[in-house]
Amino acid sequence: MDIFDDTGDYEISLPVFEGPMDLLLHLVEKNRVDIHDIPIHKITDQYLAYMNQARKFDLALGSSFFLMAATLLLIKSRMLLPVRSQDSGDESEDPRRELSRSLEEFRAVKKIKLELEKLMEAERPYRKREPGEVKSGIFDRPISAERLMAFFGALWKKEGREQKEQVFEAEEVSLEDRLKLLRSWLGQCREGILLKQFFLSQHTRMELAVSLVAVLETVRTGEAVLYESMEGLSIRRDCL
Amino acid sequence: MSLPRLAASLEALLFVRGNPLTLEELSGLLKTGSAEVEAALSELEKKYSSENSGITVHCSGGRWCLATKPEYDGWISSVLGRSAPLSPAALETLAVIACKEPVTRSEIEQVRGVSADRVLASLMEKGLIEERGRMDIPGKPILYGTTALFLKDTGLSSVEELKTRCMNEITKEESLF
Repeated sequence: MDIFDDTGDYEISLPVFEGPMDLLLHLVEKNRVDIHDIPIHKITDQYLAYMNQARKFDLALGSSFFLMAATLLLIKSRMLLPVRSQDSGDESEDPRRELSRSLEEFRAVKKIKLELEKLMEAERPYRKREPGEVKSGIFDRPISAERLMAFFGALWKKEGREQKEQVFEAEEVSLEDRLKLLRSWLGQCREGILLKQFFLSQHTRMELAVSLVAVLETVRTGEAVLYESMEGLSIRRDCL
Repeated sequence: MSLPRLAASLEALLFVRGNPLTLEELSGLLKTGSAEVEAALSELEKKYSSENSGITVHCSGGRWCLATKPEYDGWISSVLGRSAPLSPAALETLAVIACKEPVTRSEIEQVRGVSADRVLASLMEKGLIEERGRMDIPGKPILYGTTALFLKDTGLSSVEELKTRCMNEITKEESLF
């Protein structure tokens, strides 16, 4: 029955922070200090004071808060050491530099977070349809994975012989390159290109294989659609 | 094509298409100039406003789509329910990803100073972020990036737009000093 009497006369308001960076930024802003010249002694004291208070109120702080406390103490002790000018490059660096860099980054993220919140709040009342099954390929039969596999397999057997590669060299074919190539093809022929034509422009098996991945990638992202044309399996940019 | 017919075609197109379209894309699909498309869009807008219709044409991030009118949001929410807004932690994580995508989990955790496991899982579940392959370093960590749904929900045309918005704000603030 005394419990209520004890807590009755004052109200506790301890702000809850998402993480140590959140708390640190709050302290820096509350003290109105320059992020590049943090009074480490003052900030560390206040940081530890918050942690003590949190413990008193049984607020479970994650281990990340302790890690930051240790980092702050480390920086503080480094600041106490005399700076020797003869020290090699990174030794004489301000021990707070890393911290101010992270704080600056975190501050930028906070800004973006607020912007995101504003944007989402403004967009929320406009309810939109979920994109349905209807795509630009509405009148085409969808191309199954089996169809593509059979097509590629036939091409692989027939055309993929490696006559030109007598000398074995480590060959590097990047997906980005093939994607760039495919995109330029798609951009040039907006009405679509024959897959066979595209694959035949590849000289080695490695190039052929990576090209297939490039084709799959554009289909996956919805950039392009596969369709069956008069001449065979084709691909075109998804205009919708 | 006459203006009313063009407006009707536009309406049909926007109805079929769930994802918002730019003016450029619309004029390409309708095979007409962007000035005509704009006229048709305002024609549609007029029609929706005068008819006491529940939907409207909505432009966000330079993309057009059909959407319910905001004044009916309260009513729709009472019928269909409302999705809970993102938690501060989720928003913050989303901000980090939008800033630095494609980005690994440990990079996200470094910026925020806290573990991101659960938040990432919930953002994935909501479809706001996706896996973007793996980074070519030991451990092959997963790279995360934002999705088309993210752009739709924020009304942004691209992630870059978000960055420039915030950069402008920062420089504005700095110029105050």
